[in-house]
Amino acid sequence: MRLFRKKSKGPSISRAEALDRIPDKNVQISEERLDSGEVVIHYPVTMRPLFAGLVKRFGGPEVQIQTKKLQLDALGTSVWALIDGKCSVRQLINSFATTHQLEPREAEVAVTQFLRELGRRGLIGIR
Amino acid sequence: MLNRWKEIAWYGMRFKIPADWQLSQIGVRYLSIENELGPVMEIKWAPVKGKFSHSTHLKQLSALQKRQLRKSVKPEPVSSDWAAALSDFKASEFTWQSHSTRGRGALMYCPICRNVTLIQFFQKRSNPSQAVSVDILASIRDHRSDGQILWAAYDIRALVPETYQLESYRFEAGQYELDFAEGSQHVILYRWSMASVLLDKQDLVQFAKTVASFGKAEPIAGTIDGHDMVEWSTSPVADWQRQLSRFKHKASYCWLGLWHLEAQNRILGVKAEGKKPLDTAVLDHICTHYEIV
Repeated sequence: MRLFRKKSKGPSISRAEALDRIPDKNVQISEERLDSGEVVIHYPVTMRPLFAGLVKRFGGPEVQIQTKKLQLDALGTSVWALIDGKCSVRQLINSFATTHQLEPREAEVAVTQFLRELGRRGLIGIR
Repeated sequence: MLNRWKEIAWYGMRFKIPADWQLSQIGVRYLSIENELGPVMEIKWAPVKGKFSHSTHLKQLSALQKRQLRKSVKPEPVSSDWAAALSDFKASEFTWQSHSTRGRGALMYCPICRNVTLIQFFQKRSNPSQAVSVDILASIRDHRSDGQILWAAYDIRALVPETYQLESYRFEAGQYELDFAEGSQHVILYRWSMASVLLDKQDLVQFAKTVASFGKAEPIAGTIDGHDMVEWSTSPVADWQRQLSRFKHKASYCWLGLWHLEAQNRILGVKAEGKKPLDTAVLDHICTHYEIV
């Protein structure tokens, strides 16, 4: 048996291919618009098995799903509003760059970092 | 594509690239440039100490590459299409080939400033056309005669006296920062994008207070060339304070200028700090030539 197995790198895609992907919002989330215009996203999070087991032991419900909130700032809200399940990442970047008069590279970094964070929380999927 | 070009200037090197190419990596005397399909060009440069030899330098550079690539590096005489563009330099040409990419480049030595430059164009799927590489090579300048160094990267352009060395730089989404130093005196150039968002819930004076803190002194708001600006300075008042400032670790003379370019949605800023009185003529010169392109 090999003790130190080399980690597989997983499928890699080129930058151009990544920019052509289309982000779409998770259907399980709900959003609320504040008076300031900023968006608050409510999204479900399944409790970790360890905590779920503890809760169950103390008489809590069997399925442990919490709802978390994420409040976006003005910039996050403007990118969130652009995600419609039709526009590619490249189109989002171009729209964001045009709206805020940004350098293409700067807009790309800002938008892709934001999308990565949304993806990490399960708020969007990429297809 | 060839109709629009943009200027890049970094550590004394200046050249032009097509407007749709972008800086992808910035280092000390190193720049990598890409288009939307990937890296297209790389340039590095350094001053030469002692005698310069094309073959020795090329051997040293190729020795840094992997074995397969090292074998494929071929020195060649300067081809006719590049000869005119490289006429200001003592130049030699080279090519190399890896399993997926080909490269063609030039090693250029400037006898005036004794600087050697290596530039190479990557030829993968989309070859930069011959005309583009010729125009880029023809635009390369590695020295000036006015004692200034031009810095132009992304959307900022600044002219700084050559006595000021770049200490550090930061290019982050939304904020750029270049820190220059001459002895104990620092001049820091700032640039913020999305000014409309930054100034949505605060004015420029309040924003200035997030950039620096000058103790009891209050920032003064005004206008410059029709742009809102804020100026903020502090310096020792009494004689004994001036004497003491020399022995302090922290800078005692500080100045901050911020101005809001509403049309470009940017805020530009210059901060200077030192233990000795600041040279206002130099600061004026830097501020006048610091701009968004």
